[in-house]
Amino acid sequence: MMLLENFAHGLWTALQPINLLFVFLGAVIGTLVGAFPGLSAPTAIALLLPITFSLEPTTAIIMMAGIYYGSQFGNAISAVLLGVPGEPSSVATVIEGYAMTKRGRAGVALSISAIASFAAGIIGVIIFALVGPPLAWLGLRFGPAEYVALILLAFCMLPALAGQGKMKMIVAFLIGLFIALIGLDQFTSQARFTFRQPDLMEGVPLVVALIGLFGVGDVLHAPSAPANMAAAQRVRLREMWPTASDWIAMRWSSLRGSVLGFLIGTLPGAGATIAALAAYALERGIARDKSQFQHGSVEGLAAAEAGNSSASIGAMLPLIALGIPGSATTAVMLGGFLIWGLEPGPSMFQKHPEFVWGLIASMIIGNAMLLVMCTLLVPLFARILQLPYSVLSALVVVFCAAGAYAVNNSIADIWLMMGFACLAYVLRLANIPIAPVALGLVLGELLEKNLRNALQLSDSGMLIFVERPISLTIIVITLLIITAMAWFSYRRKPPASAVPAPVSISR
Amino acid sequence: MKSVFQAKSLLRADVLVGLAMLPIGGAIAAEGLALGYHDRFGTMGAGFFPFWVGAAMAAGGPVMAALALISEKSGDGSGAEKPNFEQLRAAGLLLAYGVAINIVGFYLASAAYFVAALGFVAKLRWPVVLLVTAVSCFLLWLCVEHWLMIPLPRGRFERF
Repeated sequence: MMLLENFAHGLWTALQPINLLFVFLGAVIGTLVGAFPGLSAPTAIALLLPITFSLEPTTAIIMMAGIYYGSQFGNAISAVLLGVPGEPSSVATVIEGYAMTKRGRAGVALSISAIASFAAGIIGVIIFALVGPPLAWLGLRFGPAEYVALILLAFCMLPALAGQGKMKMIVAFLIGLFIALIGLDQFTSQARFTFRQPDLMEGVPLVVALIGLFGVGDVLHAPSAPANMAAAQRVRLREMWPTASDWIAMRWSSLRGSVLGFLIGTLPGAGATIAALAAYALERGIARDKSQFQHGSVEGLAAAEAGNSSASIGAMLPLIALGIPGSATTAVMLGGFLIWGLEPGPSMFQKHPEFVWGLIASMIIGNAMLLVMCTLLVPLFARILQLPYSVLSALVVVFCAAGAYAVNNSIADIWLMMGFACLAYVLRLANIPIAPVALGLVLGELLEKNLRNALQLSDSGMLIFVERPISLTIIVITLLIITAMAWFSYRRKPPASAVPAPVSISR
Repeated sequence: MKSVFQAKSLLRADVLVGLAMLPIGGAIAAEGLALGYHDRFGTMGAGFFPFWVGAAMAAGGPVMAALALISEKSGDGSGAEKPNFEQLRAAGLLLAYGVAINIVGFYLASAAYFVAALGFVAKLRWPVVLLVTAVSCFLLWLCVEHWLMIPLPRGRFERF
C-alpha cells in the first residue's frame, strides 16, 4: 500500500507541467544526440549539466533521465536505418533492425524498437519499485570472480551472433579480444601492441571500432545499393505499425529481454551492451525457428531493444540505492547529484522520496513520450531511405568520420575507424562474421581486468571461481547451457541432403 | 558452375585467413611472453592474456584452414567473394578522404568527398551534388560545432 502511495506521489511530481516539459526536452535532445554515430548519452548529459544547475533537483534529474532514454532510442534510429551502431549496446539492433530495413520494413523495425523500449520501461520500473534495494545489495556481492563467471556465461552468446561456422566465429572473437588488448596494461602500465603510437596508448575506443566495423565497413563492402534493399520506403502511419504476427512474436521476447536486461543493468560495469547481447542471444537460443535470425527477426530485435532499455533503468538502481554509478552515464549523473546537494545511498528512499519516486515515475512518462514521438516521426525518419543509395552511403561515411573524431577530438580516431572498416571488408570477403569481433572487443577488457583481480585476491588460484557461491552458480548455469546447446545441436542436425542453401554471415 | 566457383573461392579464403592466423597469433603470443607472463609478485603479468589469445589464434587459424580443406562442402558457409572494382574504388576514395582531412580540414575534405562520390562515381546531376554537399556541411557545422561545441579539424587552415 505504501508502495502505491509513494508511486502515486512520484507520478504527481513527474506530471507537473514543468517536469513534463523538461522530460520532453530531454527525450528530444537525447534522440537527436543518440542518432548521431559516436555521440552518446554521457556526452549530452555532460554538455547539458551546467544548464540544470538552475533547475530544481527533481526537474533536473527528470531531464537527465529523458536524455538517457532518448539517446537509447536515437541509437536505434541510426542502427535500424543506416546500420551504424551509435553505441556498443546497439550491435544486436544493427544485426536484426538493419536486416529488416533491407527487406523494406524500416518503419516496422523502428516501431518495434520503440514499443519494446516502452514495455521494457514499464517492466523495469515495476522491478525497480518492487525489489530495487535488495537487488542493488545483491549486485554489490559481485566481485571479480563473479564477473569472470558472468563473462564466461556471455561466451554462450557467440553462436547466437555468428549463425554458422563455429571455427570462424571463434577466430573472429579472438580478433576482437586481441584488439581489446591494445593500449597500456591496466595493472603495470606497460604499452601493449601500440607500435609506439601515442594515440593507441589509451586503447582502441570501442565506439570508433564499431562505427568502422559496421557503418563504414558496410559502405566499403556494398558501395552500390544492395539488391534486396527497398529503393524507396514511403512509410505511411498504418504501414509502420507491426502486424498481428509481429505482436505475437515480440510479446514474450520483450518481457524476457526486459527482465534479463534489468538484472544485468544493475551490475556495475556490465552495462547495456552485455544486457542487449544477452537478451538477443537468449531469444535466439530458445527460438524454435532460428532461420529468421540475422535476416530481420522481430523477436531478436524486440529482445535486444528491451534488454538495452531495461538495463538503462537497472543502471539507475546502484546509483540511487548505493551511490555507485554502474555506467558512464550514471557516473556523470552522480556528479550532478552531488552538485544539487543530494547524497545517493541507502537512505535516499527515506530522505528524498519525492525525488526518487518522481524519477521512477518519469521513467514511464519519458518512455511513453518516446513512443508517441516515434509514432509521429517514424515516417519522417524512414524518408531518409528515399535518398539515393549513393547519397546515403556518402552521408554515412562523412557523419561516421565526424562521430569518430568527436569521441576524443582526435584525427587518429578517423584513421582507426577507416582501419576497422578495411578489417571488416577483409573479414567479409573471407565470410567471417563481424559480430563476434564486436563481442570480443566489448568483453576483452572486462575479462582480463576481472580475471587478474580475482587471481590476485585468491589464495587458492583458480579455485576462487568455484569457492564463491554466486560464481559457482553462474559457472554451473554456463555448463548446463553449453551441454544443452551441444545436445540440441546434435539432435537437430539435418541429413546432408536436407541442408538448405547457405546464406551470407557477414554480420 | 557459379556455385563451384564460389566454393573454390571460399575454400581459398578460408585457407588463406586460417593460415594467416598462425604467424599473427604466434607473434602476439611471443610479444605476450616478452611483456612478461608473470609479474614480479608471481601473479599474471601484462603478457599473460596476450599470450593465451595469441596461442589460441595460432591454434585456431590452422584448424579453420584444415576444416575447410577436409570438408567436402568447403567449410561452413558460402558467399565468399573476390574484391571487385567498385569496392576497391570506394576504399581508395575513403583513403583519399582521410588524407584530405589531415591536409585541408574536415569541411573541405568532406565537400571534396561528396563531389567525388556523388558527382564522378555515382554521376548524379551537378545541382543535386552541390545541394547535398552544401546542406550536409552546414548540418555538420550546426550539430557538431555549434550545438555540441566540438571543433572539427581544419587542417592547414586551422588559424582561419
